[in-house]
Amino acid sequence: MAKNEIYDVCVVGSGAGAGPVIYELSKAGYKVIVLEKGPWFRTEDFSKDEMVATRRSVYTPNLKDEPQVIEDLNDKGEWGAKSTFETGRDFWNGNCVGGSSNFMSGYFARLKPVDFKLLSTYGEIPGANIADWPITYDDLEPYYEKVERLVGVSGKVVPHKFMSPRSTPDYPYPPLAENIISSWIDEAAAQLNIKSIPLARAILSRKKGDRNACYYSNYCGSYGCSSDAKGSARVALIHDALKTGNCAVIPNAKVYHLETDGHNRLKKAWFYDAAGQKQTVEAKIFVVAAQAVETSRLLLMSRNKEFPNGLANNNGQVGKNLIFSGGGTGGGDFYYDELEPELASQLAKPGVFVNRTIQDFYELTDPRSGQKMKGGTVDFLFEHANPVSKAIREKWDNDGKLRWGTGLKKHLHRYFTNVRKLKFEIFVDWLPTDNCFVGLSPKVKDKWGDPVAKIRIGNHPHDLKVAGIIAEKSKQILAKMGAHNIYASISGAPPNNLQAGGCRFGNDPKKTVLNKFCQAHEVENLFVTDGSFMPTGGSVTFTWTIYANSFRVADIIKGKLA
Amino acid sequence: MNKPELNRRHFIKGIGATAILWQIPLWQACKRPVPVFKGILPGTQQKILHTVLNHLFPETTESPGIEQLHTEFHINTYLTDPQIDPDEQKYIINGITWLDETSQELFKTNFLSLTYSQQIKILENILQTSWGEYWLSRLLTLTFESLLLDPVYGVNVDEAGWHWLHHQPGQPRPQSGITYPEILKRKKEHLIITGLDQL
Repeated sequence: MAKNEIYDVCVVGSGAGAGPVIYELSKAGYKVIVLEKGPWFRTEDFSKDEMVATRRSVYTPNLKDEPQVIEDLNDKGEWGAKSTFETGRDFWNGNCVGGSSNFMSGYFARLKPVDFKLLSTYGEIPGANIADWPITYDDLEPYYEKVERLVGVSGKVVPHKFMSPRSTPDYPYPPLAENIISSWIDEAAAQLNIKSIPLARAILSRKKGDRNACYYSNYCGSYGCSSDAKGSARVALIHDALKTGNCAVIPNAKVYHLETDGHNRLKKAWFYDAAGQKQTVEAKIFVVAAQAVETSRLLLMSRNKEFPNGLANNNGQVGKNLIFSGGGTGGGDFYYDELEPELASQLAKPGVFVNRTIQDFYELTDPRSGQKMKGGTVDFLFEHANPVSKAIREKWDNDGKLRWGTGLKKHLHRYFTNVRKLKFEIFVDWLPTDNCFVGLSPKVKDKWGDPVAKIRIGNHPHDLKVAGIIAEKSKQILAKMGAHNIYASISGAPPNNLQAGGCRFGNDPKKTVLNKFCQAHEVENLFVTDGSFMPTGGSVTFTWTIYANSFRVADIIKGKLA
Repeated sequence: MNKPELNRRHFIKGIGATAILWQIPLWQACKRPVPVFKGILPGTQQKILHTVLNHLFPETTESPGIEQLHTEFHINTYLTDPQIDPDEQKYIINGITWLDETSQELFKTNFLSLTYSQQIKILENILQTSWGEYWLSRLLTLTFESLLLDPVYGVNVDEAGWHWLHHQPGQPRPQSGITYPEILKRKKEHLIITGLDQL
């Protein structure tokens, strides 16, 4: 980094929302600098080490140093705020080059056309701030396709009534290998007149350039990939950006302020380097993609005379309408000793995937009103192979009492050697409300002395209603398969790894932070390309859409720089 | 579960519950002398911890116990890890003291002097308190770590835990240089990366 160099683009963050911008602009010959709060973990740094991946805060900040504040309803129905350091309720995701895309499971699904016009299709829901998107599915489709090719998506297209329109007949990579249980799901669903279809994954089933195919390690989600098959922004995009010679990445660089020039334009980004020293970077265009919560936090922290309420926040909308993925989980157990030895052996086979999803419930009929309403998605997967986490979940018996002694040991042995748990995850819209937003904590500060994000996590009861209907249908499939101990848990607690909103895009500068190009209404050279732009989240995981939108915005920025 | 406050309130609820009939585990049946692991805890506290862990996760003829798994070594590592919340570390240690106080209150003698069944009664009693349930739960979590983490951490010796539970580890396994806390050094690297050859 040359002193006084002015870059074409400065990108804050390096995950799924940042990777496409970094890749496209570097490839187009523009000078790009990336400021990433976390370290650079190389592929060789990753192993299937549960201690590093989930037992200690290695891929996420230590909550002593970087807490957040969660505001939740207490027993009296009042909002109470607690530091995550006090509660241990961690809202961080992967903080490193490539962000949480390094650790995703890569369950990939496109939004559907209806997700872009939820308000005009289904109407208002009291207490929810539903809004149509300022773009359509057709605007994003070419970029979904681009993600399939560049990031790498494997799967098989099977037509169904809610299928998202495609410009290509099938995925560029064939489906990953499957466990026998996938065919059992198909059969059980078919008997219930439900269509079970293959689930696409952002995982390579064959080699792509320097990246090797999946080797079925049995440890995918929460772990970094050792073959580079998983489509993280780091290996799928940033590696190629570095090869251009136009890109520089500074890891361990925590941006704390974006400075304007007095004329509604950003001039420089201030950051703490690895040694805690204050540094600056100047650029013509700034792209913020620090994941939804931290993006809003950075804008709110960047106050000055022009923007006394925070950058691009003179309308007070920054941080508002934060959304997560609503829904819940469920599952059931299959016992090896009830199966023929050959079937039991196939069921026990580690590594190969379940990869089944059901989209039939994307639109439902409200049982009370008889009106059509938006539904959701169900994905099936095995319980994670993480043994410590698996044992911890078995600490408590069905009455909520702690198991211990020889009784615990007998239970653990049977669970590990005779049970395979099939789980399902339900994804429904987390309706945006006035009770889900990001602000700054007036009291709690991080290790650099900056105010931490305060996140209010209220949910809308409609989300639980929709998820509950889908849970019952999902349980029927497990029952038809012969599973034991079938359960479902629908919760209003947000999944911390599926966050979006906070800097809504839209055509009305009074009600939104960004225009339809994801450019701040108030700051011409500021773009936001993580999930913050999303007014509604759809009923699938966000990552594919975040990648696709970032490619779309990259084209817009190229047009501005040309 | 959220961690409870670091005190013993709501604790004493009597010892009315009858102890479950327990299969006497090997460590008790053999009446071996208690080997004292040398870590940061004073000897008596370490002996109490050892005894409690043996109750929680007793060695049997088919399964490894805390000595083979190096559970006390693992807990000592946890208690000295600067990355861990100091309150959590204190809680593990305070729990030992509170357990012994409970023994004094209920049986007028220290925990180590109690009979096997009296010790069980104490554990069942503290399980009815929020602090006791949380403390024993934390000890079990640390025991599970010693049972199932990679042996590179000095636990799960000879992969005894993995063999017992037929667990197949993922590949690649952690090696020197990328284990916790070595990998944390990446968080202090002062770099500007402009090419893949730097990685």
